Order: sequence, then structure tokens, then C-alpha cells
Amino acid sequence: MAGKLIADQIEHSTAGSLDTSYVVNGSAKAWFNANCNATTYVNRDSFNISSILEASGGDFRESYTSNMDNTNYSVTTSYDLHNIFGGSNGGLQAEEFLTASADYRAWYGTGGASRDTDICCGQIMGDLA
Amino acid sequence: MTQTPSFKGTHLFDRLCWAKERLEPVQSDYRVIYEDDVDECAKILVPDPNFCAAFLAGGILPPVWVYWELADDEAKPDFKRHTRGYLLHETQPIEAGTMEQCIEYLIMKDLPRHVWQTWDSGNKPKMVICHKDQLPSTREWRNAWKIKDDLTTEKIAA
Repeated sequence: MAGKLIADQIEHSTAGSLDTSYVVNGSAKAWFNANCNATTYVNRDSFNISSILEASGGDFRESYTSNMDNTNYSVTTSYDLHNIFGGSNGGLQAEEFLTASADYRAWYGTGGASRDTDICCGQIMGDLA
Repeated sequence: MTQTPSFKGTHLFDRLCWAKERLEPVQSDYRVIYEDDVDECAKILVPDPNFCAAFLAGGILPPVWVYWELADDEAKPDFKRHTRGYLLHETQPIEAGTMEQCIEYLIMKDLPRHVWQTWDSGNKPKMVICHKDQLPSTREWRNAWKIKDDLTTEKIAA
């Protein structure tokens, strides 16, 4: 690949040096921004995602193009239900983790029922296979 | 048109970084509808726009059998972590394909194998590829959506 640098450390002129393993291990390995209120769910943009699979209203799966190494990875989510329902009693919950995908459930209300949601986002941190 | 460099042996993540920087995302109009449980509504697979761009460009993605091998490894009861991740990175990437081939690839990658291997057995097709405008125009009663009982493979072929 053109322009490839192989280095174990990066050094700043005044702020010190950093092992490049911090960059490799500390970068998100996948992310998505999905519209889960369109006629069918669709990813607006993403990285390292191959498809979004809509299981039912509020329930979906994001599959990875480059698999994770194991299932002990971390997912951080954000969402916006406010445009639809108002209030803040809801969430986007990451559920079953596989190395090839993870399942998500957008919910709202006291009973926690799954709901379509305008904006569903996730960032995946961990090791790649 | 952007020419994909020779990527054999390059980590798949690095190939995806290259694609993200250089390729325009492609939103597909195709949808894959399938049912794998009679008590559940139909599920819908929608291709990711960046994945479609990588498939159409060629030279980036591994052959789909690589994902089957990794899925088989993960299905083993003593699975802890992948030991054959090199298959993703060292296998010769596939050539450029059409959007229709991209959908076929995604079906075989991201849908349960028992669905696409037996899609036409039983009383009705359990998987259908369609355009998004062939689906209901609103999400009303989404959790009751089903593939039509009277849908036949002859109609699909036509």
C-alpha cells in the first residue's frame, strides 16, 4: 500500500511520545449512523459495516465487514427519540454480540417497548480478527 | 473511476480505510425480505452504502466463504477468539461485481445459512429480493409484515 509507515512510536516536538499501539487499540473498529424510522431501516453512513438487518420495529442488527476477534468488545450507542415521542425515557440497547454482528433495540416508555427511531448510532471498540 | 491497488495480504481494515477515503457510498434500492420463524414478522436486509461501494470497486473484499469459515469457528462450543482471522486479510480479494452480485454476496454473508440454502422449499418462498418501492410505503403494522402466501417462484422469475 503506497505511503505506508511502520513505527512503534509517534513523538511530538514538545508534548512527548506515544506508542502507536495506543492508536491501534484505541480507535473505533466500526461505527454506524442509521435511520431507523425510514420505510426500511437504512445506514446513512458507516465504517466496517456490511448491512443493517431490520428484525422488527425497533430491533435491528449491524454486521461487520471485518470481524471482531472475540465477543468481549465494547459498544457505545446514541439515539434520538425526541423528534418522535418527546421526553427522554428511552434508549438504544446493544444486545447479542457476535464477532460478525451485534443486535440493537431502540425502546421507549415505561414498558420498554421497541420503537422506530430517527437516529441510531453506535461505535464499536475492541480487537479485530 | 478509482483504481483499486493490489491489496492481497493487506489487512482488511486498512483496505476499508482506503475505500472510505476514496469511494462514494452507493445506496442500493434492493431489499432482501426473509422469514425464519412463523411466529415472527418478516425481516429485511438493507445493504450498507459503503459496503456496496467496496463491492462494486472490486479488489477489497474477501470471498464470501471466508466468512463461513469464521462463522463455523465461532459456532464451536469452546470458541474464545478467532485464530483464523488471517483468512480475511490474506485471501485473494474478489473482483469487481454488479449490484445484483453484491446482493447475492450479502445474502450468503449476513443471512442465516438455513434461510438462503432452503429459500424455495416449503409451502412458499421464505426469501424474496425486491426493490424498496415494492414494499409498503408506510411502517404501519410493520410487526405484522409477512411474505405473501400466494407468492410463487414463477411469479418471482417473471
